[in-house]
Amino acid sequence: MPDATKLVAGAAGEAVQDIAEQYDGYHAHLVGRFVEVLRIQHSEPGDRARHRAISELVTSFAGEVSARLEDAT
Amino acid sequence: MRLESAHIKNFKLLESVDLTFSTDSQRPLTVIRAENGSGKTSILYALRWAMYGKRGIPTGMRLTAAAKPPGRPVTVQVRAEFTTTEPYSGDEVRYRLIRSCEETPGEDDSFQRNPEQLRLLRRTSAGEEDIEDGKEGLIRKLLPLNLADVFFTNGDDVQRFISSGQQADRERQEAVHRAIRQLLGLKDVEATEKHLSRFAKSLRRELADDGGAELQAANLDLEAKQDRVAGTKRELGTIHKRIDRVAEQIRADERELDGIRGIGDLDTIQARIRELKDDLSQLETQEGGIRGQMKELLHSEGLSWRLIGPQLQQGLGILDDLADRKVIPGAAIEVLTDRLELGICICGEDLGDGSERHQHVENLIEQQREVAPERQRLSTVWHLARNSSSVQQAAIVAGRSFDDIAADLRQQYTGCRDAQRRKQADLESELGKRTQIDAERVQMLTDRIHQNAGKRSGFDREYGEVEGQLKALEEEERLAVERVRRAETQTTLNETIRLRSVVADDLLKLAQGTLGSLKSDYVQRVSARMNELFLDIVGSDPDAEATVFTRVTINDRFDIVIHTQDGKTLDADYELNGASQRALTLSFIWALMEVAGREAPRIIDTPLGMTSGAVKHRMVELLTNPTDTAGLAYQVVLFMTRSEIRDIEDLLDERAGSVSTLSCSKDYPVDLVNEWGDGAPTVRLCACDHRQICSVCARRRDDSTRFTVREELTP
Repeated sequence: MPDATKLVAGAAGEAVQDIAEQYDGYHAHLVGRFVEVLRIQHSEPGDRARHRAISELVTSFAGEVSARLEDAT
Repeated sequence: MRLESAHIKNFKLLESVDLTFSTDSQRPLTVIRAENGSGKTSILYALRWAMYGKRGIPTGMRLTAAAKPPGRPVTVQVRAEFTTTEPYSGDEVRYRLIRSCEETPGEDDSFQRNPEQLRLLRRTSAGEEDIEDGKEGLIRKLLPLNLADVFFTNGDDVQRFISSGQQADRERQEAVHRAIRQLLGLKDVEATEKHLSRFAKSLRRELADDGGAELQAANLDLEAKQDRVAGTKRELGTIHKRIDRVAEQIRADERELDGIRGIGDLDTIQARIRELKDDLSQLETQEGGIRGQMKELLHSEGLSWRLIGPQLQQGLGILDDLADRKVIPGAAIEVLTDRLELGICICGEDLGDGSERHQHVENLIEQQREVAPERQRLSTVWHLARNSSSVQQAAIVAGRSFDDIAADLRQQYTGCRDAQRRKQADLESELGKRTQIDAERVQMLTDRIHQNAGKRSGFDREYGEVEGQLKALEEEERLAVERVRRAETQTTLNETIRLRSVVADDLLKLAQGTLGSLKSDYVQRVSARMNELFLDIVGSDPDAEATVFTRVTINDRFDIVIHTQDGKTLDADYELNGASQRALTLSFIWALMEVAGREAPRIIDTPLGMTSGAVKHRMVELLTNPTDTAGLAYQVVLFMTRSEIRDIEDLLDERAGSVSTLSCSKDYPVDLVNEWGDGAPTVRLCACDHRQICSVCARRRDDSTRFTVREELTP
């Protein structure tokens, strides 16, 4: 789906408005991570490898969110 | 992906052909001018083979030319250079693709082919680097095989793109659905959503396990609700499909019934048949009457007067003469006998026995007895003839002579027979119509439409009910989410797991929202752009009274729908002409690729067949307009005949960044002016553009006032 990345990212940019923003700039990061998930979905062969890659991405993003929330408080 | 160049070797008649494609964003059009049989389709297949191998060309297609001698292996090779924009970095990357194989022609059209070899090289300023793994996969990602018809299109097949529903084993408008799903990325986002859903669920379970009984219970409740929501959505999808199937069956049955109704209403036809049969029966009776009258006429004295009138008149004259001379009618024997018995003659003389006079009367009686039969007959004939003659004379005076009656009867007979023939023809026509109308079929269709309409209403009702249930379940799900959130706040959670769950949930929501947006907003953008392009190409003003199409749309089932002035819709399979089907397909492909931002060449062989005049001009103008692509790298390659090029030369001047001409040596001497090649048919590419001819491509029918002569360098 390489050429569709921009398209999907654009659609995600519109859809993200319905999601509660954890901190200022969270939406942009969420969209960025979502595109990453798509890339994993697209490029990683096999369900297990995808699951592992998505898990790592979510863990890393959650860590980032945690850090930003701590900064904010 | 933009094609830069291609070299084709030994593919069909293309022994060695180098193509250059325009990559100029302001002049995105590449034109390859070629007449029929000059290698256009071979180039199309050569490029498809280069990209997809044997899966890109018709099954069992031989790559080498038919004239190649059997038994001698031939190396077939297509090399293509292209550029792509990397999806995540946005960097431009150049590639060289080389696909080759060895094919040994056999007798007839048979061949043996060694496995194909594919080399894919990444080209950088430092040189070229062979890509070892995932070569085919990389190409398929750039140009998905199942969309090959979108990128490499045979103009004659283009209209089938939107009308594949005619094939019973295929989904209606299957190619349209597939293209939308593929190019708008729906398939990938759906797969991602599914994956994220499973992942978010596992994280919520982990979180709940960490959060105590209430959170676990709340989470189980939420999962149950989510499962029910998902199940209900699936149920809705199933009902949707049922509605689609029933609607499609109703459409097909109505179309067939309309066809039959075009012949006429069965009851009306039956009544007409009965009426015609009655008429025919009456006419036959009438004909019998006329024939009877004719027979009588032929038996009548009138025929004799008509045939031997003068002779009869002559005979009557003789009889009259006999009458004048008192020969007829003869004296009556009875009178003479009476007189003898009275003994006194009429004149008063004595007729007593023995008298001389008595003897004379007895002699007279004897003589009378001898001639009486003849006289009697003559008298009878005389009376009859006089009577007949006077009747005949009266008939002539009254205009009822034999000829008059015969002419009248003949006219009646002819009229009657003509009427019978007309009625018979009408009867046969009505019988023919009745044969075409299979009453059982009509009844079956009518019943089925009725039943399916009932089914559809039922499904619609069911859909509405399930939709209502879904809303209620979604509300329950929302409450379950709140319960989970409350439970989360009432317990101390592992913050790391909680945040992971939050971001996983958000990613899932984003996938769901994106999917919804793609399926509705983005499809609507494609729909609007397709409508704009299509109406512009066919020159249809939606507000004009005489216009046929008012708009074309894509509905929520991804079907293309054609709307007409009277509020009806047209079936793309049956109710669009070839030019409109072609215009609609190209409008759809162009709109979809624009909205999807797909960078890929659009290569069309013979794009303008069935189009002419203003439609042709507008089609090329709109499909090669670089300003509508919002900065999208844009490439259109059209293989066109001279006839397709005619009248759009000005557009090609403006839009074509590369034009060249293909010719085939076999066209000499019938079409080509000059002989070239070494005997076996071969195709050669020259640098002539759409306004030029040279010693290679000049054709006998070329109008010298339309072309300038260019000197072709010997290759």
